[in-house]
Amino acid sequence: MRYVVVGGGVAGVTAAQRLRALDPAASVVLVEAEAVPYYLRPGLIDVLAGAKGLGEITPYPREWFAKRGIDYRLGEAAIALDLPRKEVVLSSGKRLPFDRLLLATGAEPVRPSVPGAALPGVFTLRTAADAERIRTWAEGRRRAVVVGGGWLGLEAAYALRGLLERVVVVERGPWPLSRHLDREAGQILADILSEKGVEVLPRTEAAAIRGGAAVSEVLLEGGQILPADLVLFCLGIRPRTALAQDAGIGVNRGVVVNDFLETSVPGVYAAGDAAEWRTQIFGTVLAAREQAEVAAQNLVDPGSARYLGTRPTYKLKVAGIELFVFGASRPAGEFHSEERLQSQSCYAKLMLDKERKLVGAVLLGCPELASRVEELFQSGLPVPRGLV
Amino acid sequence: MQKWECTVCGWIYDPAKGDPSQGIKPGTAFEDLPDTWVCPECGAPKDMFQPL
Ligand SMILES: Cc1cc2nc3c(=O)[nH]c(=O)nc-3n(C[C@H](O)[C@H](O)[C@H](O)COP(=O)(O)OP(=O)(O)OC[C@H]3O[C@@H](n4cnc5c(N)ncnc54)[C@H](O)[C@@H]3O)c2cc1C
Ligand SMILES: [Fe+2]
Repeated sequence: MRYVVVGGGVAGVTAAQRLRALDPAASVVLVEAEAVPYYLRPGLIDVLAGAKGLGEITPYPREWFAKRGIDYRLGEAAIALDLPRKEVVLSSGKRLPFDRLLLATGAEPVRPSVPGAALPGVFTLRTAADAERIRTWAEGRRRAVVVGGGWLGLEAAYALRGLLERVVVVERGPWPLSRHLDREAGQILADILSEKGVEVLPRTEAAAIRGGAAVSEVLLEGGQILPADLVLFCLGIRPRTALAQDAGIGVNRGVVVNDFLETSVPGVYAAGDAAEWRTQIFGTVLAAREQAEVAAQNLVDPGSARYLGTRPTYKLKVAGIELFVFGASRPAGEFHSEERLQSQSCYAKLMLDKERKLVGAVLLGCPELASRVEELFQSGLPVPRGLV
Repeated sequence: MQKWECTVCGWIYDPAKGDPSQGIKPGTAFEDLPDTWVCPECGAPKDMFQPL
């Protein structure tokens, strides 16, 4: 049996390992376009901040893959899928035959469409090379604007604050993380960020990036101008679907998969940020890994494992801010009751169903309580009365 | 029991809780986690953890 995995991010690496364990006699090929070995993408925030080098977030040396009998094709991109012949075409012109294929091509940042976005000093953040480029550019510069106040935007803004004098986050929504937080929590978070030197400007958007040889300012929708010698767009992700689409595999926002994580073409599977399952693209390491495990089982033994979704949990990785979000934090009419606690240091909101099981929760400033709530969320047990 | 922290993302392994996402039962010491176990938040392997 010949398995080919395209994409060596967390989904691809997890799947390759699993395939090897499940089918010791098979050939497992892992194709990765980047030239550097697998690194832990969440660690890029520290690389951006200059707190860690790439080596410190690289878990396995190249030999690790060889030792496990994984044929690791580093620095080679898959440029086409020849499905009738069951071959992956590589940038080198080589062709890799497969019996079963996994697409783990991940996602790329949404590219900004505003005028001036191509100016030097304007960035997006996804790869190690991006993090290095941004950090290098930040040297000797003073002011940054981060466009997008989601998880990545806020973490990147805080990392940049360590390098620059002034960092402003421009957020379209009414407060930071507005897809996850209600007004109270959003306001508290904005205040804490501001104390840490990261200003969030809500309800506005970048209308244009301006400058000469490099970026010098950001023009906002309302006409306000923010001086900036570095601009980072954090507008979310776009699954990499081109390979699949060009080969006639069903694609919506991501590569569409069923509960076996199989695409519209039998024998071809997808997992991670590239995959769209029941209209959802999770965009997290945990979901990518869980999908990769299920996909690997099905590559070896089709129809043997079902993916049932990943329960989302988020923690904001900004020093001194204990913000946790579990599950659907702003469910629309799906929950039965709500319990809140708001004191000077702690904001907690639990959303419960009829059986007092957690539908979602937001906790800010109370790590102990958050830890209890996480346990209840993971185990699916009812929340005892009087917990908050 | 000793807790361990991921040096990459700060996630903490608490033996009292285990890691349900990878089938690790509460009460499992960090040392007894299988070599294939990784940080649920960022994917870091065991050797990238340090005792808290
Ligand atoms: C800075 C940053 C911080 C983050 N922090 C967190 C966090 O704290 N927690 C969390 O859960 N998630 C976090 N995420 C999101 C998380 O990194 C992703 O959900 C995860 O990486 C998805 O894994 P993946 O394997 O599906 O895709 P990716 O990690 O994107 O990997 C896909 C790989 O496929 C390769 N590839 C693509 N096309 C081809 C091709 N044609 N041929 C060969 N190779 C190809 C790419 O080069 C890439 O290496 C963060 C993301 C970023 C950018
Ligand atoms: Fe981690």
